[in-house]
Order: sequence, then structure tokens, then C-alpha cells
Amino acid sequence: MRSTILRFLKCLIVLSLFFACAPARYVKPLDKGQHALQLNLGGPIAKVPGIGVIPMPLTTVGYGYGIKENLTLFGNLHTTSLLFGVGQVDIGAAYRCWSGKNMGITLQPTLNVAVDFYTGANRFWPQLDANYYWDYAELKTKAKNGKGFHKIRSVYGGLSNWFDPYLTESQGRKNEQVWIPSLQIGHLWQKNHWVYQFEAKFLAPIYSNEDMVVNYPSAFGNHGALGAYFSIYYTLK
Amino acid sequence: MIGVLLLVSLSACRKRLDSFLFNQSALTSYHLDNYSGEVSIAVGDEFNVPDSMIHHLEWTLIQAGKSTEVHAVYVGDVSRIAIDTVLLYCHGNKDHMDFYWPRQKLYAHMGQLGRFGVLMFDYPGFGMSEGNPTEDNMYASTELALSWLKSQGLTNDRLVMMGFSLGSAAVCEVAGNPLRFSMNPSKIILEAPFASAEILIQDGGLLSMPGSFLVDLKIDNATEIKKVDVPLLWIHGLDDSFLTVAHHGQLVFDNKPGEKEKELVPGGGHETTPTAMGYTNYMNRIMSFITQ
Repeated sequence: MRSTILRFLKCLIVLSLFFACAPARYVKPLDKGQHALQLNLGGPIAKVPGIGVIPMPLTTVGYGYGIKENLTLFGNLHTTSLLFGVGQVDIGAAYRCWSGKNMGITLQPTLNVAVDFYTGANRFWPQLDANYYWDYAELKTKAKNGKGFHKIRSVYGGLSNWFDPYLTESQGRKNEQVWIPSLQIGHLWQKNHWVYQFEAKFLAPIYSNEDMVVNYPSAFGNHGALGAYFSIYYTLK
Repeated sequence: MIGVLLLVSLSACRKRLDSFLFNQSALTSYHLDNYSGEVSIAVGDEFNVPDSMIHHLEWTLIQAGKSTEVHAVYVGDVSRIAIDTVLLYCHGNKDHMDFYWPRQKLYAHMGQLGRFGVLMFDYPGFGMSEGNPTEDNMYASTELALSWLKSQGLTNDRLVMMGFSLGSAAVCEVAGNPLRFSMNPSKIILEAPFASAEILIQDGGLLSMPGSFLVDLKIDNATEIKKVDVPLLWIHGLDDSFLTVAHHGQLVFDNKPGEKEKELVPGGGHETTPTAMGYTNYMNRIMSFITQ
């Protein structure tokens, strides 16, 4: 029983975390009128028997649109959860509330919605992220043929906050994880229309993972888990 | 948009995690004492059972016109089932009966060897039992065991059911739904029961997700037990970190109306409660519950 429960809970942990985690969206808002298509790959890092320690290959696809210079609206479809018959989307906005020279702070209020297509069971999880970014390098060239390139390198870090508003769980148990914070740091490579994003996330570091029997690498010992994400954006105006 | 999502989802083969709850292994034959693989607990020669008391049984499970064989082992004198008290043991989710054989021997030695007949069977997909390991098949094979015991002359007042871990679901299903099964136990024993599939999911994750997001399992011992009106003995290791006392066994126990007893075992893990208690104490505790 032990080994199976382990496998079972590990898988649940992975999937549960996957329901609760994705990389920061639009740390730098799009330009006004700019469109973006986004593909994201990654998730909690797990020790998978027979394979090794890997980030779970969870995927989302999404779209963003810059309606103002400092405001981008976005939506993402969590494609992996579709395999379970669960439609999950996150819709939100990225709002730059402060900007300085080559830097800024953005807020990302988001609503995560998950619906079981088979039973109708559903959940809504509000989320509020805050990120600081810094463009530490920028390079523009213009070739004689007019093509040239525009490169920007940025780093960012921030806090992600998920809120689980369901105060009562199965059998009337009290939900003791109403607030699920995570910390993230990441890097953006921008070149012309393409943006590449890598992010490391410290998931739920305030919650013990001991009862969950998780063999996950964590920067906080027996608390939380690590996540790794890679995203590609294609932008055009 | 929702329609597209629905189509995509429904057209895909919906992934479920149900199979993670069943950790069965197939066998071509049962070895019992000669089994060299991992076992639930290790017991000494003093718990050996003579071959004359070991009865290999085969039953046929017919579902949707298809027949599958279910295998069982009865320890005791079959001819005395009509007058003896019998313990029907529903094992956990691991491997097969060879894995749990040492436990069956322990129960066969309660009081003295043969005082209680002990019946154990493999759920479909486990050991030599054919078919798929599913929740419904687990209950269907439990019904086969009950039917066989009834055919041998056992009456409800002499039937005691014991479920370990996954097996607690079979026991709660029978005891909570007496009209759906051939027999109903006069007492039940749950060792390291889990509360429900949904609680497994919610405990395993950070978010309060519905169980249906990940599994089709309907196992809900914490609810089924509310309908059970026969005495319960709950045994659970305090060091069970897989199905914790607080999140699983305690919920089941608290929801049980009427007569109930508990034995919380310091140092007991999920599988090792008999070892932590000491086999004699463990057997005596169960026997005193059965005979009181």
C-alpha cells in the first residue's frame, strides 16, 4: 500500500500544484495595440520513478492584448487539465503600476476557473501577483537592408498569491490553506517579435509537504516545492 | 469557446488516476508460505497453518455476460462454517493474497489455531483473479465471498468483516448497504481505513478540488459509515503518515453512530500496526472485540 499511496499522492501533488501554478504572466505589459500568443511548458519539479527529477511537462496556451501602454489583458487555457476532462482557464490583466528607468512593477490580478465537463463540478480561484522587472541590457541594430534587430534582456522577481475561497472541504473539514503564496524569479529574452521566458518558482513555501509524502526538491526543506517553467511569446502589432 | 473546450475534452480519452489506488500484481499460482516476495508483515513459524486447513477456492464472477475467475483462500474447517464464527478479511491494495498471507495466518491463530475461520480473496486483477481492478469489481468480488460463505451455512450473527486500508472500502460498502449484499456482518474491524477518495485528493494537494477532477472513484467510507449500525473496532497506527489518523481514520470513527471502539497504536505505521502492538496483543485485541 505504501508505495502505491506514494505514487498516488505524488501524482496528486503534481496535478494539484499544476492546478495552482503557472508562470507569471506578462511581467512586462505589451505595447498598446500589441497582440501576443503564448505557449508555456513546465510545472512543479518532481522525482519521477524511472526518469529522474524533472519539471512536470504541463502546458498552457494563451493570448494577450495590450489595450494601453501599461495594461495588458490575457487569457490562458491549461491544456494538460483537458486530458482529465477539466477545462481550466486563467483570465486576467497585467497592470504596470509603477515605472522607472528600464524597470517597473506590475500587478497581475487573475481569475482561475476550472470546470469538470463530466460532472459540472467547478472551482474559482482568484490570484494576485506582483512582480518587479529590470531591463538590464538593450541592444538595437539596424542593418543596411533595414532588418536589424532589437534585443532586450530582463530579470524579474515577485510574489504570487492564490486564494482558495472554499472554506470547507470534504466531510466538513476546515480548509487551512486559504492563501497559497509562491515566490518567483525569472529571466526574459526579447528579440524582435519573440520573447523567451524562464522562471523558477518556490511554490507554497509556508506549507509543510511532509504529510503529503512528497519527494520533491524544495529550497525550503520540508516545505513547499520547486517549479520550473519555460514560455515563448510571439508578439505582433 | 466553451463548446470547443468541451469537444476537445470529450474527444480525448479522459485520463483518470483511479489506477493509482490499485497496486495489484498478477500471479500464475499462489505460494503462501513459499512466497519469496515482499510481504505485509513477517511472522514466525509459530503461526504456520497445516495444509489440511488451507483451502484454495475459485469463484466465477459473471458481469455483462462475461465470466472471470476470482480466487480465495479459506483457513479453517469448511465443514464447520455452519457453526463457527468467520472473519472475512478484505486486504489492502498491494499485490495479491501472497503478500497478505502472514496476516491471514495471524487471524487464524487468534485464540487458538482454527478458533475462527478466516476467508481472504483477491479482488479482480490481483493475484490469479481475472478481470480489472476497479471499485465496482472489488465490491462484486466481495459479494462473491459473502455468497460463498452463506452457501456454506454461515449466518450474519457469526460473520465479522475486517478491512485493511483499501479493504476498508469493501467493508463499509457492505455494512452500509445491507440490502445490496447476500450477508451483513455482525461486527466490523477497520485497520488504517481511508476516509474517501476525495479526501485523498484534497489532502494530497493544496487546493480544495473536487475528487472528480482527477478520479472516478466514489469510495467514501466517511459517509458510508454513517449508515453502519453494527459495532466497529478501528485500529490505526499513530505514525501512519500515508493515511493519517487525523485526516482519515478519525473521520470515519467520528462519523460512525452507535457502538465503536478504537485502538490507536503508538509507533504503528501504515502497514506495521501488528508489529508495533506485538502480534499477541494485536490478536488479543481483535479477538476480545469479536467475542465480547
